[in-house]
Amino acid sequence: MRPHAREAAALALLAVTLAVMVVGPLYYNSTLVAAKDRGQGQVFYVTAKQWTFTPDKFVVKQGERVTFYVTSSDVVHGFSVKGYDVGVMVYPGDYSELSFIANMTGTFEIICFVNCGTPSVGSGEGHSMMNATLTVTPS
Amino acid sequence: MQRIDLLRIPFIKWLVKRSWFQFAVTVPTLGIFCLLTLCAFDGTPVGSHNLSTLFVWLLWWAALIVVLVPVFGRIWCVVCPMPAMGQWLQRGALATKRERGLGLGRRWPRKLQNIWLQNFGFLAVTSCIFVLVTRPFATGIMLLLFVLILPTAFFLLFERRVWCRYVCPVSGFIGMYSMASGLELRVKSEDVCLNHMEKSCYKGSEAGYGCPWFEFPQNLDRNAYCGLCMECVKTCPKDNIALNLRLGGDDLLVEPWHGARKRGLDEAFRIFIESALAPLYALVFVGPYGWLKDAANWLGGATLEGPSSIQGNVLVQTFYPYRFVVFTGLVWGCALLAMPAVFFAFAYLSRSLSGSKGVPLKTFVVNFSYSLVPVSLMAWIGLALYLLMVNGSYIVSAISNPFGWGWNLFGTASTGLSWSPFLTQLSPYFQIVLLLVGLLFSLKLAFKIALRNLPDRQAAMKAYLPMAILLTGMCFLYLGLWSDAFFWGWIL
Repeated sequence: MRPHAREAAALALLAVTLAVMVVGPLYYNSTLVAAKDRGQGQVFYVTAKQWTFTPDKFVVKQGERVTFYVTSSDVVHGFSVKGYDVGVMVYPGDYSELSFIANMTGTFEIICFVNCGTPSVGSGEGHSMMNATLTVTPS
Repeated sequence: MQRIDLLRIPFIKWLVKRSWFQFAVTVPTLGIFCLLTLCAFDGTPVGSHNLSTLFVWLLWWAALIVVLVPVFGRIWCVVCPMPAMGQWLQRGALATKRERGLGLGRRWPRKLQNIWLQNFGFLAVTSCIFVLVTRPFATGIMLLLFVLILPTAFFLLFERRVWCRYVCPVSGFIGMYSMASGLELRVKSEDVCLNHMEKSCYKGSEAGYGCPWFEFPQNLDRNAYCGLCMECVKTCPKDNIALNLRLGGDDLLVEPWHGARKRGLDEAFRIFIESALAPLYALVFVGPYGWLKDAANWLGGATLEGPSSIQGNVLVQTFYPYRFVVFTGLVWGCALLAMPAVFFAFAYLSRSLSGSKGVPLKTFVVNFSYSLVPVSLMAWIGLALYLLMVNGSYIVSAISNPFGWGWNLFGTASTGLSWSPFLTQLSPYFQIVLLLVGLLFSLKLAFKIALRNLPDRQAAMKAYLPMAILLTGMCFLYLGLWSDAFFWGWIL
């Protein structure tokens, strides 16, 4: 191959590689994923506190985007949706965002995945009792 | 020592002699760099779920320390994306030879022709390590700075690979440990080189560029500064270059008369830095000391600027100056003061016992410092393997969901929160084996260094004794950390 042709081929390869690596993910996300993401979705603001989430019941339709903005009023908590296996750390005084598409129907438990403290013995309270539910109904 | 020349394999020789070889092996890593940078800035802000932090600090770092450097030396420098953009601009070509590109081609100042800048750069990056591994945006800034902006600027300002040779913080690390590696580029016959007046390997020819690393292949007797870019294979008209597989370690014993220009306190301090940081990092990442983790985490108080449609990554961080001063002080103090002070003391003892008071202390320090390489390399391998065993499961999920945008490319994203440490209970045992093997090589090396640098065997033995005590002590310090972890249940 002649030098000019080789340079042109290399330039084309470089351009394709960079385009695939940078534009590819954005394109994939905006088309393939967004196609499933019907409507504006549901946004919930949640406060975590030893040993509750407030509010603690969320209902959305299948295929909707669900976005949680979670804050803590005491210690560091976790906020994760079992079944979807997504989660965020929640820091006192700050908001953490958790956003995903609810593509599976059913009722999913939301738990704190950070050991956020030890309650008094026999109080019936505690980190392990800290939960909420997300119900995804068929669209 | 038996060596196998890989360039005798026709395909390898054909491949590395192509003008497009460097381009072809760099483009994939440059593409991965672009993807990781995008992940860092636009992906989830949670470090353990973002591919950029996991790939750079867990996978790449472990691959570098455990496999690439010990086995293949500077092989990473062949595919490294850092010099890519700058080098193409500097040369004005991607895959062909051109005489003139865009670079100013200035000479690097003689006073900076050492690796002190690399040492300080490495310390600067390592002072931020906890912030970097936990915050994708910090990793993104580092990637942009060290993979794109700084190298490109250096390539445009200065000649050849000044960035790689004198500035890149990773290059110094790779260079020191690659001297113990199993791959080397050497000339087949020095006589052939001596009779070849054109020196096209250094000056370049129509077939390729002059050595970008400022090395004369004919003088190569250490891997420290040969980036394996293969330009000399292209330019040598005598077919006098070999790429040998070997049993590593020879380079650390290089004869002082031959390497005097290259071996100085800058290299010795590089080894002290690596030796001091291996246990310090073990304490930070594995140890039970909350105050140390807090100090290392000198950026805190993650705050979203407010609910937004962007998933995370618009974090405002609080800077804790006190923590920063404590941790930076620890890193720089251990690496540049404590470790060298101990080594100087033992070198002084070594010189006194051997009766070589006429020999400068600096010579003893520099020569014996190379004996630390095997044991400290094993300490790094042990730490990297342990971190990979603990956190490797995060990579499995992040590969399917690299940005945290809810993708499931390979069906493994559902393991998102199921953090599954792998066989960590075996960690203390393999640490013990690794460190004892490292100690064995270090002791052997120290003895050979003593024999080469002292006039007779008796003086060598006397000089060796304090160094053997120091090396054994260091090994037991590393071992103590891991056995302490074992007994006190840090990692069980």
